[in-house]
This record gives sequence, C-alpha cells and structure tokens, in this order.
Amino acid sequence: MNEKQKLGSYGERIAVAFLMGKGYRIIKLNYRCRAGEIDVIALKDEFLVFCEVKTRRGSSCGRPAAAVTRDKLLHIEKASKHFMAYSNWSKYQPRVDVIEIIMGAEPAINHIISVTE
Amino acid sequence: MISKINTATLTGLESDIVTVETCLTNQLPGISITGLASQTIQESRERVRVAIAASGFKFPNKKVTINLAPAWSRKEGSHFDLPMAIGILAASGEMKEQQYADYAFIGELSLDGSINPVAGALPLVIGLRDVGMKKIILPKGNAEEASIVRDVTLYAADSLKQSIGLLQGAESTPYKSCTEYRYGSPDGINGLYEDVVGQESAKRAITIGVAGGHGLFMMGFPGSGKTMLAQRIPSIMPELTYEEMLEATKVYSVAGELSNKRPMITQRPFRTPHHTISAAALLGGGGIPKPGEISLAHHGVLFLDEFPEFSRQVLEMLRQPLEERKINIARAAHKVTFPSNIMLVAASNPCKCGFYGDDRHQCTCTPAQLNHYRSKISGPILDRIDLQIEIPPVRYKELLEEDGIPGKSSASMREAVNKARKLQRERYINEGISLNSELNAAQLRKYCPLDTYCKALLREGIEKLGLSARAFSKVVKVARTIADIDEAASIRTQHIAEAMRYRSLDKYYRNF
Repeated sequence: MNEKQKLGSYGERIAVAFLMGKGYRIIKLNYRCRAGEIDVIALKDEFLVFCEVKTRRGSSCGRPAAAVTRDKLLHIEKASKHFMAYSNWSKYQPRVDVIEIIMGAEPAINHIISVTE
Repeated sequence: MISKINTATLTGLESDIVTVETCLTNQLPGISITGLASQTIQESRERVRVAIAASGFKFPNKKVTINLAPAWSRKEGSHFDLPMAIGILAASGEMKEQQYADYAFIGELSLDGSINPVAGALPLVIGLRDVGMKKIILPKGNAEEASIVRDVTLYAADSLKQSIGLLQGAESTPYKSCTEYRYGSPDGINGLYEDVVGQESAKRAITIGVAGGHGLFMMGFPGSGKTMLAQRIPSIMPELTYEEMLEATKVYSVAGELSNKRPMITQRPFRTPHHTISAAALLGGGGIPKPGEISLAHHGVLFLDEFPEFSRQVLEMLRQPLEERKINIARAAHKVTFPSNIMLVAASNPCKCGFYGDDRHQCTCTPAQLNHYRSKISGPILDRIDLQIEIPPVRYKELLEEDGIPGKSSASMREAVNKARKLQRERYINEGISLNSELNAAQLRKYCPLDTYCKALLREGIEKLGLSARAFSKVVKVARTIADIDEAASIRTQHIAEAMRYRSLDKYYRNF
C-alpha cells in the first residue's frame, strides 16, 4: 500500500468513527461495482447515505470537496442505484454526502449533507 | 403524493391554462422539470429552492419531479416560480388540497422569498378568468394592472410566506383598486390643433385620415410643422372603447411596460420611433418574441418622422402588418401573432438637406443624393399610404395672425371625425369592419357605387396621374370618407376630385 492509499484509508477510518459518533449505522465500506465505487454506505433515520470521503494533508491543492467533480458524482449516483437495486432498500430515502478531512495536529472534519442537485 | 396547482402560460396575447403537477419520490434529491419549459423556467429551480428555505420552510429531502401540463405546449415566463414553490410545499404536506385547489397562482420569486411583478399579468389573469378560475394570487406589483378585469377575485401577495399563510386560513382582503381610471376621451396632452398656425389643408387631410383610418404621408420643408401636426392627431381621435383599451393594455402588459403607477392605457397610443430603430424593435421579435412599436401603437398612431432615413429593410417589412393589421412573428418551432391596427403617419423632407424646391433657401444636394433619398420612399410603400400631402412653409401673415381668421380647433375636427365614424359604424354593422380604409374589393363595389361623372373623372385621373389599381381603390375609399364628413349618402365628383389631390406625390416620385 503506498502513501496515498494509506492516507485515504486513514481518512476513511476517521470518517467512519465520525459518522458512528453521530448515530449513523454503517452498512458497507468500499462498495465496488462496474458502475463505480462508494467509500461508505450508512443509515440514519429514514436516510440511506452514500458517502464520499476525501482526505488531504493541507488545503494547498484546494479544498478536498472540490475534488468531487460532476463525473465522480455521476459514478456515485450510478453505483448507488446499483446498490439499491440488489437489495431491498426502497423504503429509505437515498442521499449523497461528502466528508472532507484535512489532516493536521487535529484532523478537521467537514460533513456536507446532500450534494446532489 | 402529487399536488396540482393552477397557473397559465402566454403565447402572444393569448393565455392558456397550465397545471403544475409536483411529485416527491425516493430518489437522489434534485429538481427536474418537464413540459417544454423554457430556460427561464429551468432557472426557477434555483430560485424556488432558495426562496422556500428563505421563507422558513423545509425543502423536502426527496427527488422533486415537476410536470407542466399539457406537456406538448411550450411554457414561457418567470411567473411559474410561485406556482412551483406552492406545488412543492403542497406535495410535502404543508397544505391540504382543499386549501389551494380553488386558486390560481402567478409570480416570480426573489431569493429572499418575496414576490416580484411579472410581464403579461393582465392577459394571464384574463385567460384564467375565462376558464373559470375565480381566485388568483398574484404579485402586488401587478395588482393595479389586473384590477381592471371583471368577475375575478385577486389577492395581492408580497411574499411566498404570506401566500402560504393566506391559503392556511389567515385573514386577507381581496385587492380592490382605489383609483378610478378614466379612459377614452383624449386629454390633449400632446397639444391641440389650435396651437398650429395656418396649415388648414393639412388639418383637412388629417381629419379625413382619422375619420376613415387612412394612412398619411407628409412632405415638407424643415420647420414647416410636420411633427407638430402629427403629435396632435391623438387629440382628434375618437374615444377608446373598453375592448380597445383592454387590447392595448394587454400589449403593454406583455411588453413589460406597465407598473402600479401606470397600470393601463387610458389614451390612444402615439409612438414615434427614431429612424435608427431595428426591425425587431419596430415590428416585434427578439429571442422571446415581444411586441414591437407597431403593436405598441395598436389602436393609436405610429409616426415615422424622417421616413427616408429608416432602413430600407425595415420599411419593406412594414407592408404585411399594414395590410393585415396584425404581425406574425415566426420562430423555428412556433408562431406568435401580435395585433397592429394602427394609423400610419410618415413625414419626410423633399431631400436630404431639406430645401429642394424652396424658393427661400438653396438646396445643397447632389443629383445622386437626391436620387438616393427619393428612392427610399419606394413606389410600393408610397402606394400603400392612402393620403399624401405637401406641407408648405407658413407665411408670415399667418404666423403673426394678421389675417384674423382663427384656425380649425381640435374640437371641431374631432366633431367631424365622430360624425363620419358613426356613419361608417352603422353602414358596416354586419360586415365585421368599422372603417372605410378596411374595405375589401367586394365591399368596395357594394358600398361605393360610382355614377358616370365620377367614373369619367377617375378615368382622367388614372391616365393623367398614372394611378395603379391599388391607388385607384384607395382614391375611392378616401372619397367615401370625404363624403361621410360631408354627410352625403353617395360619392359625388367633388369628393373624387379632392381624393385625387391626395395622390399628388405618386407621379412626383415616379417621374423623378
């Protein structure tokens, strides 16, 4: 595993801990299918949340959330439909969130709810 | 749960009912709009979302699908914001169906949730009333304008929050206009004919023009009074009827020219576009077709001063609307029609410098300049204008009022006009027209029989003046109007003789 992957998976662990702390139930991590992949799938109240986690060391290359481009979002949406088709999640309201983590002495976590238009 | 909200869309001056259907589903959140909605309406997605949040309501966390039914017709306008916002809030349970089902809604939303006025409110309200809507919520800024529509209850809304409050049962009084609008009689705001010294023959021609709805072309030296004469035409035009007032106001509404300070057209319009005007601005058009000057002059006067300075292309495009009294604006996928029942008045100098033929000034134009200037007033355009007159310079005796004869006043000219108009109305009561200038070929034969003396005079005129067939029929129509002013039952030779005097410029321009 290289440095980048190590950072990414570290960020994901932080995001998972953050979500659980907020009362989310984690369903799946790193869901992969032909259409795309999703970092975290979690459940809270009536929402089925598909979450993309972006981790950076600092903001020098721009905010991590800016890396979630329109294309990426499209892939996430397709993968979410795929996920929902193969199991019975229809009674939940789907939602796509982004969690951005900026590493530092204390990791700064920003949870952006519902990024789709 | 699907909510259905009543509103309407505009095509030209006509409005058609539209049902805004809103449905919330368990899919990734977003708003999608179907039903051939224009770009403006697609942009509503952003305004509606922000306005709902700004009004203190929760925007639903679901996918919002909005359909503008019927789906096959094009929808246009920013007034769909309010019905869509109401539809979203209704679908998410803020209101029960019986609270909003009897209302129709129009309004543009601001990002802070307040409601902005829209163009075309008057025809929209008329259309909604005509399909049976009894209660309409509309922007406060359009309330005065719409208040002239009878048999409908209007609620003037400031904001989305206020509208929801009203629907949920808050106290609200229907909008009633506090101002008594008087329309019809000319107010003489552009001046009266008493101001014009001399020019009695011009006043005579103008009286004939207004009486029969005939177009007028004036040629004269700079400063001879052409503009003054034209400006005062509204002071002798007959009273606006209720239908004419409503039609003219609709045009101004669609053009976005009304406001709470000036919510209706109370006088016959008098439009004077500058000669640098574009074809789209004069005739109507633009990306989203809007009425042009020719429609803003509907039931009034369109004055084209410095006629030869207008672009040739623009003048050529005047032909069809002058003939048909309406203008069709065609686009790739649809067609829009605006009315243009106008009295056309055109004025020009004899040449570019203005002094050709003046014995007091030197004309400084080259023959090429003279030719170019004259050719602008092409045969076909001049031919289509019923009355042509020359405006001579005013002699000092008249200017200093030394001959002691008072000129014709607006009041007396209007009396003659009203007499002639009454005769025409009675004569054409079953024909669907109201003026001599509107007669078609068959009607001309029926209502303007000519005796042998008149025919002989006309034959001479056609030969000597080289009148075309179209000019011939115009001479007869003008003669009919002159006879009406004279209160004569049938056309006499003196009427024909006078009518032919008003074709003097045909030969002048052709021979040059």
